[in-house]
Amino acid sequence: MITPSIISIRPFIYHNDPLLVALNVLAGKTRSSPYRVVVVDDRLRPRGVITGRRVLEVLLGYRGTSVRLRKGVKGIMREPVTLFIDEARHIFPDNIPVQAVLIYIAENKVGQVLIVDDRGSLRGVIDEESILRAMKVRDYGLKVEAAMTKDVFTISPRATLTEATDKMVKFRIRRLPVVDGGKLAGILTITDILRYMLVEEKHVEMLLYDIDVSRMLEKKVSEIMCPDVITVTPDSDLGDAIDIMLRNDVSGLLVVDKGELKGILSRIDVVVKVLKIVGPACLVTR
Amino acid sequence: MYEKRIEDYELVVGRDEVEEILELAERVRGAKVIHVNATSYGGGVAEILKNLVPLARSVGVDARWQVIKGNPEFFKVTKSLHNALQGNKEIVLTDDMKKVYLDVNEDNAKLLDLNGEVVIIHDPQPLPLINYKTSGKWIWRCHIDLSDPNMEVWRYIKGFVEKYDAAIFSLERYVPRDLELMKVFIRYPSIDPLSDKNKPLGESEVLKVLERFDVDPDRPIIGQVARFDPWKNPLGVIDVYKMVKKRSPETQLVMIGSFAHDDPEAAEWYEKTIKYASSVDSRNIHVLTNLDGVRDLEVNAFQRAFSIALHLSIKEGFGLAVTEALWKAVPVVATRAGGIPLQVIDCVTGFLVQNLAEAAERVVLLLRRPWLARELGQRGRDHVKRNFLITRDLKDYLRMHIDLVGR
Repeated sequence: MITPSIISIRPFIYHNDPLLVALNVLAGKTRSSPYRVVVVDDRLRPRGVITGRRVLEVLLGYRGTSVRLRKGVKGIMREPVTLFIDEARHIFPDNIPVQAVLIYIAENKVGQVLIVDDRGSLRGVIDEESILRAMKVRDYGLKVEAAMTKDVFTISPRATLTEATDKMVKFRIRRLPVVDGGKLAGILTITDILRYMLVEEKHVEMLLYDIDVSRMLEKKVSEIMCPDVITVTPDSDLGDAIDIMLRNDVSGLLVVDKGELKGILSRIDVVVKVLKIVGPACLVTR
Repeated sequence: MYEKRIEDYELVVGRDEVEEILELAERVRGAKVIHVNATSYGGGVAEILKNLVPLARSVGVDARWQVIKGNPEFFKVTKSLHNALQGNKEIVLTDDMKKVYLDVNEDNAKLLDLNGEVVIIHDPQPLPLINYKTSGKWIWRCHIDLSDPNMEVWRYIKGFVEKYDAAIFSLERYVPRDLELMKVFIRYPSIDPLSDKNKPLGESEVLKVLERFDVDPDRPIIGQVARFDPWKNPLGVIDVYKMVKKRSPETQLVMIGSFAHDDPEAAEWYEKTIKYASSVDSRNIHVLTNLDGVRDLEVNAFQRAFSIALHLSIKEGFGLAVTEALWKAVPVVATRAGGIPLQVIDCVTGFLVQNLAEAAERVVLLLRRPWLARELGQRGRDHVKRNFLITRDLKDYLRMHIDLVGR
């Protein structure tokens, strides 16, 4: 049986809500706005999931292409979100042993599973964050280096947002460390870009006029990136890194050694590594 | 191709799901969608298309399915490509092999109707058809595991893939890191609960099939349904049976495979399997194929008769045979290859194993605890119902069509 405390209640939206609602949820004010939002039907049954990347792709014209051509940005904002979602996957009943769900997450490197009740209605999710918060033990004897992703795409602060978003879409990544002359200068995430495009009152323009999104992306990366980067070193203790992530409410940490970028440590990297090495039983709150 | 009616699925997935499909379909009504693959029979791709295409037609999409023609030399080359892309680093693609590959695709381009609003090319065999694109949006649907390919061969293949408008992969981790494509979709394959292979069958129908093939319904049956292919580890399945039989002598093994037209290795591996089976226990090991008359309905009956299904692949795309077994409430003992861990949740819908000895242990455990096998089987069926039925796959396809050509 799943311990209720590990199930997180996250924002969800309805399948017939306009796409703009998804944009607003995904580009929220907190530092780690949800990267994905569950879409439900009128009886709260999960229909799908929409991510920040998908919304960015729609805004840039890489998804929803035919609808956008016919209706423009203004029109596409009013279309039901169900047109742009991915079918809900990883749906589990709430009477499944939590250990099984955790093993499933580790085996498949899945960032989120959806938990439903016996009528199929959404009870909540178990995601990287809820698992990290449920990890009471922090001493794994593991260094950050053991869990981080080493092969990292980067971008220059002088690049335009168009170049950055192209890279993000083309290589399916959500964070781009900004590197200048070999030194780390900041980080740019999909959420940063969505927030820039939407939160600064620009969504109002989008609703009223068919604005040219590409013009908004002429800005330089350095103008939008977050220069205040939280870093760890490859030698840092993994348990300490988890605490830093949770305390600062961020979904990933950059791993730096003597000012040079060595990798990224994301929540899913940590969850998979710890679950594989320590096992699920040590992690769950009783 | 037989007809399907979307309304028939209401009983399985509910009215709301069907209505949602119809709403999405309205936006692509009449759109001509052409699927092209390498075989009309055998393997997961043909299995999906056989059901997905008629179902798409039933909701107003002008979906069509075409199969390329090739000579044995071509299929030998494409099998090498397949093996190299799934990780065989020793394979070298010579200029002669490339020529065969390109020439046969060129010949097929002249024969096939490729003028669809959306053209979906499945797997590497017909991939170079993209060179003959004249109109529409072209999508490459990759059903194989590209997570650790032979890089030399992948670089060659990548040149074709990047000409497509979009690509679909079965799992996120199968998308090669260096693939530069603006539209990449992740789609889990699915099964059709109303196809001959998965529809409900009465006990008498199951018994009739077992009788026809001289399989004893009163003794436990373990079985694997998979192509005869080194990746599916058919000889390993027999090794597991050997270990199980020592502790559960009554047990029978049924191995079912099919000879797909695009699989030149199948005959060789079938022979190897038969030979090994005969050396172990020819009376209680049944190795059956489509050539023996084991078609979809018979596979359905056998899967329903299994006490436990095995799936001991070394490499796997998604593993639809696992989905099929789970749908029939049969627990599965399987390796961690490909999409199997998405389906076999350890200790919940079956057991995931590291090696053959562990597989045998788990099989014996389940044979001795039928109540546990029933419990895991039922959970497996529920898991498939929530996650892997064709109606979800159809919705994802409809969304993709809306994205590309919809209203």
